[in-house]
Amino acid sequence: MRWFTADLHVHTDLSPCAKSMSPDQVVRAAESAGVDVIAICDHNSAANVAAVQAAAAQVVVLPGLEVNTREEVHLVCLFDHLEGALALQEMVYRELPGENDEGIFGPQWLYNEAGDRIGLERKFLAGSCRLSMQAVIALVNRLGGLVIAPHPMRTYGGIIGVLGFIPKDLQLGAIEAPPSGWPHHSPLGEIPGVIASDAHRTEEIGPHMAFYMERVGLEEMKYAWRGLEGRRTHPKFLMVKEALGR
Amino acid sequence: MRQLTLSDLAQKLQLQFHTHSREAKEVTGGYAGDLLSDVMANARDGQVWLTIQVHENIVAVALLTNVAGVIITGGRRPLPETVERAREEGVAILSSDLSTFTLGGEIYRLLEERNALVHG
Repeated sequence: MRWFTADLHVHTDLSPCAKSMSPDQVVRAAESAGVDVIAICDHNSAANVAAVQAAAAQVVVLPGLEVNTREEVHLVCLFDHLEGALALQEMVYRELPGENDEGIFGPQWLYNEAGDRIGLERKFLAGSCRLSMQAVIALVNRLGGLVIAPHPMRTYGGIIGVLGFIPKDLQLGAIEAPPSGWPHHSPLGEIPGVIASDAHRTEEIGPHMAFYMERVGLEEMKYAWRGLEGRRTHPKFLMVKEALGR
Repeated sequence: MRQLTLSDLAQKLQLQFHTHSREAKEVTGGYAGDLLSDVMANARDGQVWLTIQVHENIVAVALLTNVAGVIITGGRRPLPETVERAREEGVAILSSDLSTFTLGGEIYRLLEERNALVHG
């Protein structure tokens, strides 16, 4: 086992709000910052994951999407394999209305595995899909993925900002640490925490946390959050209950 | 008409009841919002709350703020689990095909008329 540094929330130029984030730029930034694992999660799409994986030399690239649910809550959905991410993308695309206006929202660049720009995604990726939060979480869990609630306190897309508090019995895999510290709402206590950049610029990518584990994978990470079988995380506070000193 | 109730609103504005409140409360005002963190901070006892959020959390926010009822606008309908929770908790949930803006205007007008009767 060894330490793997991670940044589990990174965008590419496919997200209209990102800039100078080609697969090559993302990979070079991650590798020069000493990041071992990045998760690529563009808004409502996994269409550039394969290109980033192809560009990667050392860094391991986890496939993902940042789905915007009908409640306007963002959910980072991670997978071990590209197939899972693409299966979710297909279901999200079916329920994602509208067409992007580049003049207002910015371009949504698609890349091929050679690293070339091959066109613009027409769907309105910044919008919210018609799937409920519960439906997305159920789909991801069925596909063997992991759901992280990003920027929870934000009133734009954050689960607590939008819905007031975390609904009971929600099968969340983890929650991103807000910059102001952990929220003092229950039932956060049992949900593991993540520190990730939500990078829309290359300089934001970094080794924001680390996992001590056998290999890179969602199951290993789940063990690390719970301190099982010798796995652990750094910083160690990452079970929220411990962070609050309860 | 001294008091305005949810039933009055439902009748005059063609609202559909999905659940009823445990006790019929007087409607004294209104609040509109879809960010539940904002509604938790600003909605008040006796108001009707107009929202397009259909998630189950609206029931807890309604209980917390003690609003007279929740009206889901824009032709949306509450999720089944929201209805179930609201029924358990005795929180009134209604829906309307009107937009939040239009329905809010109509309710405001009815409240003004009621006030004119009471104070005029």
